[in-house]
Amino acid sequence: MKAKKYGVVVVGGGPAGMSAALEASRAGATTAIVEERHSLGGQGYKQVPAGFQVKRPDRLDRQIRAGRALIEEVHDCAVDVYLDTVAWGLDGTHVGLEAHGDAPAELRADQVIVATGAYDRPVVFPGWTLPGVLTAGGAHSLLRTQGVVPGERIVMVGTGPLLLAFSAQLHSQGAPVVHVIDSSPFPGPGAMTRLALSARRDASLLVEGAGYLAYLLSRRVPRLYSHAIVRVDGTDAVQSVTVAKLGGDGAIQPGTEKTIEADTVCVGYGLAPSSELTRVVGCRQIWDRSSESFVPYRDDGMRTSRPGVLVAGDCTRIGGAEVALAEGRLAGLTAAHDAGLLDDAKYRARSESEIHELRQHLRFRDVLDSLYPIGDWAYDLAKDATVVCRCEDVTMADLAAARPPWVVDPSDVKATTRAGMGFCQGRNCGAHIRRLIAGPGLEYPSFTPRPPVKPSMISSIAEEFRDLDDKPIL
Amino acid sequence: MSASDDRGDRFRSSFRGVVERGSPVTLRVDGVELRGYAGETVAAAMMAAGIRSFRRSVRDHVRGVYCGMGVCYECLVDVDGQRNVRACMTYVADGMTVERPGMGRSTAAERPDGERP
Repeated sequence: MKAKKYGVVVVGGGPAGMSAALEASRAGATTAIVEERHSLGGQGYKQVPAGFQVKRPDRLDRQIRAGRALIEEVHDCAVDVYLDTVAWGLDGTHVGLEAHGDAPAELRADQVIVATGAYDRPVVFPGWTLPGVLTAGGAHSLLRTQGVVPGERIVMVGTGPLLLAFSAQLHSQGAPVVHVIDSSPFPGPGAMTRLALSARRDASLLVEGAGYLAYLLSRRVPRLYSHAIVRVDGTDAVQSVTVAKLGGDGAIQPGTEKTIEADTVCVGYGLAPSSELTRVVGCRQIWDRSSESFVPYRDDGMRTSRPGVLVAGDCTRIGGAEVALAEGRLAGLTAAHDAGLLDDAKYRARSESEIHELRQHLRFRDVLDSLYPIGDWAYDLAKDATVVCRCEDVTMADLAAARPPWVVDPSDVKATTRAGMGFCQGRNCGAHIRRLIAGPGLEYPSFTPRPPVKPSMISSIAEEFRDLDDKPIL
Repeated sequence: MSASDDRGDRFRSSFRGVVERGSPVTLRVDGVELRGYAGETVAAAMMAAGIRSFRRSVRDHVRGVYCGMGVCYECLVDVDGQRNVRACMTYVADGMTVERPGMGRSTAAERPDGERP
C-alpha cells in the first residue's frame, strides 16, 4: 500500500479544516487536507457542485462566497487536497484512507488536525424512517447545492438558529414550506437582551437571524413555538406530521396534538459532533452538555490529550462557521509552533488574539445553547414498533427484550440486538440507546467507535483483497 | 416513476439565474430513463424526478434520502453494478444505471408481516 509523509494532515475540508491547513502551510509545514466529499467547503460552506456554472458570482450568498474565497486560498497555497477520500482510521498520527487508484492509502503525518464537523442530531420518533423525512441539513443541501426542492408540502420541525435560517432559505428559494414548528419558546425580552449582550463578536449573526424571522413573518409562513414533533404517519411515504405543545415543565402536554398534512418533514434539532476519529485514537473525552455527547478534550491551543493530535470546529462542540474558522486558525498555528516552525513570541502574539476572539464567540454560543435546549421529551417519542436503529431495523421492542443483567452497556446492546452495527455505525441510534441505558442527566458514552469509522472497501485497506472490489465491509 | 421533463423541472429550482446546471445526461433507474444534469448527485436527480423510495431495509421497510450528507447510508443504491453506493455522495454520469435494492418486490401491504414503523 502506498503511503505519503506530511508535516500536517487535516481531516475534513470545511471552514475549520481549511483555515487550519492554511495556517500550517503558510508557516512552512507540508500540509494535506483529506475531504470525503467531491469539493471543499464542508457543511458550513456548502458549495455549488463542480459541473454547475456560477453565472452571477456577485449574487451568491454570503456562505457560498466566503467558502469560495477560502477554497481559492487553499488552492493558491501549497496544500495537497485529497477529495472523495474517506479517512477511515487514525493510528497515532497516521491516517488510513480509502484509496482510489494510485492515491496513497495512508498519510503519515507528524501532526493530525481532526476537523470532521458534525451532522444533524437524530431524534427517534414513530415514522422517522419514512421516505420524505429528511434532516434539515440534508434538505438544505439538496436545495441549496443541487437546486432540488425536497417536496410539495414541507413542514420544518426542530429548534435553534439553523431551523430559522433553513426555513427562511428553503422558502425563499421556492420550497413550499407550509409550517415551522419550534420546540423552544419564542425568545422573550430577557432572552433577547442576553443574546444581544453576548453578541459582541456575533452581531452580524443576530442581524441575519432577525432577517430570517422578518422574512418568515412577511411571507406569513405559519410558525408554532414550544411545540415538539410527536410522530409522522404514512404508508411508504409521509402523509402527515403530528406535533404537540410542550409545557413549562418541558414535557409534552397530552391533548394538545395537532396534525398537519405534509409530504416532507425536515427535522433539525441541532447538531451532533462527529468525534469518532478522536475516540478511535484514544483522545480523552469530556462531556458536552449541549449535544449530550462526549467530545475530545482540548487545551487552549486545540491540542487533544494525544501527542500530535489536534482538533478544530464542530467535532469538538457545536459552534458554527465563525468558531470553526477561529479554531482552525488556532490549531494550524499550534501545529506549526509545535513543529518548530513558529517561534514562541510569534505564536503567542497570534494565538492570543484567536483565543480572545474564540472566547467571545463561545459566550454567544453558550447563550444560544441555553435558549434552544433539547428536552427529555425527545427520548420518549418512540413506541414499541418504532425502529431505533435504522440500518438493522432494531425496534424499541427489540431493545426492551435486551435487559440486564446480561445487557448493561451499549456494546452489549450492539452484540445482542445488532443495533448500531450497520452502515452508519450507530451515528443515528447511538444517542437514543445511550439515553435508554443511562436515563436522564447521566454522563454516559454511546457506542465505542471502531475503525473503519465509515464503511470502506476492504481492497483499500488490505492489498490482498484487491480482487474483492465490490465487497464493502463494516 | 416518470421520465417526463416537466415533472423533473417541477422539483428543480431555477437558482434565480445565479447558477446554471451542467449539461444534460440520461440515467436509467430500474430501467426507466431519467434526465439529470452534470454536477447533480444521483439522489438529487432521483428526487427531482419525484422518486422518494430508494430501497428496502433489512425488514423490508421502504427508505429514502434522510441525512443527504453521507452519514446515514439510507440512500444506498446499486450504481453501474456496484452495490451499496450512497446516492447522495455519487454524481450522475451519462448512461449510468441505477437499481433500487428491493424496490422491484411486492409492497409492504401485500406481505403478511407488513410491519410499519
